[in-house]
Amino acid sequence: MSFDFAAVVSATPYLLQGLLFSVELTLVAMIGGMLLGTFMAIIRHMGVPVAAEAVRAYVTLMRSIPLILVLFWFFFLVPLLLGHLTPTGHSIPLGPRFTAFITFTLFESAYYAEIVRAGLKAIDKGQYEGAKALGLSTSSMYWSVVVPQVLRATAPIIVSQTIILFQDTALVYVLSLTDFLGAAAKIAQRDSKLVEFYSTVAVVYLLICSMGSELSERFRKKQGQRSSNGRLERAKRMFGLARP
Amino acid sequence: MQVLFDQAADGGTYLGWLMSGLFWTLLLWFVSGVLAFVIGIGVGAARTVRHLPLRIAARLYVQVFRNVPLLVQVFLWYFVLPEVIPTTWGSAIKQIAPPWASFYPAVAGLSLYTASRIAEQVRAGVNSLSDGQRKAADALGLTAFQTYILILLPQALRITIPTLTSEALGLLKNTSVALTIGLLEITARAAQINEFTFRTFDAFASATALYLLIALVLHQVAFQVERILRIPGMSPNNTPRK
Amino acid sequence: MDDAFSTQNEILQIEGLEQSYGAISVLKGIDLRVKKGERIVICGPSGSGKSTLIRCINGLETFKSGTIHVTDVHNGERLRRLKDIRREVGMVFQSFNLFPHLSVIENCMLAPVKVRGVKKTEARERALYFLNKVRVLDQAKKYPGQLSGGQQQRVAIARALCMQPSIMLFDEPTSALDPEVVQEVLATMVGLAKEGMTMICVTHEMGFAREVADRVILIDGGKIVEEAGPAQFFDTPRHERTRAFLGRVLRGHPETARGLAHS
Repeated sequence: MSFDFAAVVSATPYLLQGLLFSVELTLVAMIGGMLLGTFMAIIRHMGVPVAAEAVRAYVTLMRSIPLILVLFWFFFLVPLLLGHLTPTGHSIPLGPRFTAFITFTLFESAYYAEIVRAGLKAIDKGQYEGAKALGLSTSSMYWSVVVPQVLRATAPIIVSQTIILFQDTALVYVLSLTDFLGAAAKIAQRDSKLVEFYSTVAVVYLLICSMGSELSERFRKKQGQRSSNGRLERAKRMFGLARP
Repeated sequence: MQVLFDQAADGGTYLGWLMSGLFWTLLLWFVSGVLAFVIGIGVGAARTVRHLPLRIAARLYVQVFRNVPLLVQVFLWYFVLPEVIPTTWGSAIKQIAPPWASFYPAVAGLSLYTASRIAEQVRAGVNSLSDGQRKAADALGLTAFQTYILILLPQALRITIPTLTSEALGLLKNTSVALTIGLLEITARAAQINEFTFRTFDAFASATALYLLIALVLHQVAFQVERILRIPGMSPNNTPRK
Repeated sequence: MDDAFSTQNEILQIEGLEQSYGAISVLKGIDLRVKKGERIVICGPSGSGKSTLIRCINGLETFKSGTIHVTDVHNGERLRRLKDIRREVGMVFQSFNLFPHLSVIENCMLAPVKVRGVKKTEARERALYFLNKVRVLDQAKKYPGQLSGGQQQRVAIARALCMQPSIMLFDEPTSALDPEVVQEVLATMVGLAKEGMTMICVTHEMGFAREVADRVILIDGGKIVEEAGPAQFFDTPRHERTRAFLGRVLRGHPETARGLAHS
């Protein structure tokens, strides 16, 4: 049994390109997902009629079905839907990369929304009252008082969720996209060096995600020193792990 | 949804295809779930024992299996394992006929990955118990093993039931990963139906409906289990009432 | 009616206020009129509805029926919008409710900038002025978590004052404080009263009431039981329930009894 890891080394540029896409996808989905998720969480927290119910249904749906299925849905259906909206009625080919960005953002937003929502609920009611009593508008209240506290408190969980997101990006394999795993798979299959490439991929993911988890732990420890709100502590403990 | 009842290429109906997918999803989910549960409890408990080497080994297990994507783990079991073990065993594995050839690696990947997550929940549950529990068990003369089985784990598991439910749901969703190594579970079948009939919405909507249905049943079962396991006199999060 | 307002100098008028939670009636018809510069102390047993009453004034609680009218002190017009009312009415809470992620001075600057549109430099000066007034100027750069309870509450008072309200509401401001620091907060409130701030305080501190209040009101079971000047309220209360309440309070708080005896 001899394994040719030199092949892996020479393929490094191509692998790095794939890794770059994985990281890009993670960042876009995290930022987009957090923005959309925070927005949805606030709508639900405020109890806006109709909208809050819609958010609830959306979040429940996204959290109940596999990501692979959601990828298929978007990959096949979004071009069709957009086609209905345009004058010509033809489906617009979006390209798998763009579809992946949209899909992951929308999918992850459901998970971030739940994290933020728990954070909003865990903030002491007095903070909301203090802000209202001062006459702050609703948007000022959320923007200046509530959301900064929620983000600080839920930072460790958000980091954990993002690490899971990074792992999930590997699933773009089913759309034949060239992320890190996809790049490795392409070469491995072409050159019949499955063992070398897949084990390398595993080790690289292990290193990156371990470092990410370390970061999350540091965050958590720093939180423990600064936090002054007991209920927020309980919310964090409830969320020992981000999502299934 | 009429399409489901049309004739498919292999003589059966597309509904039949979907049902076959359902079978494999449920089988994969159940077998992986049981294994993950058992392994997870073991590793989670091991993370809290006083014996240092065991604790470190358990910590390493969790580090490794939680930080490699599930898809990559499944690929390792399916593609890499047969190549790195002694040739006779490797050939034997390669002889296994599909769909079992895809099933076993999928079980391996899913159960070990999920076990690492369950281990963390169990660890948190055991750690949340007051130190006094262990001390009382010691005072009574129980061995470490007895302490875990009789005292610590029963309590820790009650605490972690809600999170175990969400892990079970997560496992259900993760079974779809098996399609990448050729197992024809629900999502794979839906994609197939889409290829053959071009009724994209119907195909994927049926799959979605199936997953939602199973999730619903899971929530009901979990609710009943929680009810049965509740200890009289304990408040909802299993701390003694003052 | 508005003429009657401005001639009598009333800035708060509550009529027939009723509030209930489900089947439980918390306020059963409250009438209260407050003139500019008046200091009102509201006391009563727990669950009597006194907190609910003042929280209705600035809209933190809604109410089932009745009216609450707040008048703008500067132009005598009735304030109609909730955000206008909250601008003119300041509130100090039992649990301070300082914003932990902002420094003391940032806490004080936030609302003037965002609500009154004050420029940052001016808001900062204003904040320093009021922080100095409540004697926590040296803590300006610190964060609430680094301050003692008494200091935090004084910051909370400064924060409310930075909005330059015409009415200050106090909801049991010293109930959550250690006994040693209660006095420093009460002293701050007395100082405010002496400067002519219109104040409505829900409190158990009878010594403070005796010293500062123009009127003391006992609320029990959602209704005003007795309303009188402090001398009459404490020395010759008219109602049995007032006597019973005073008896309970004085038994439970010997230091209050001493305070009352000395004043």
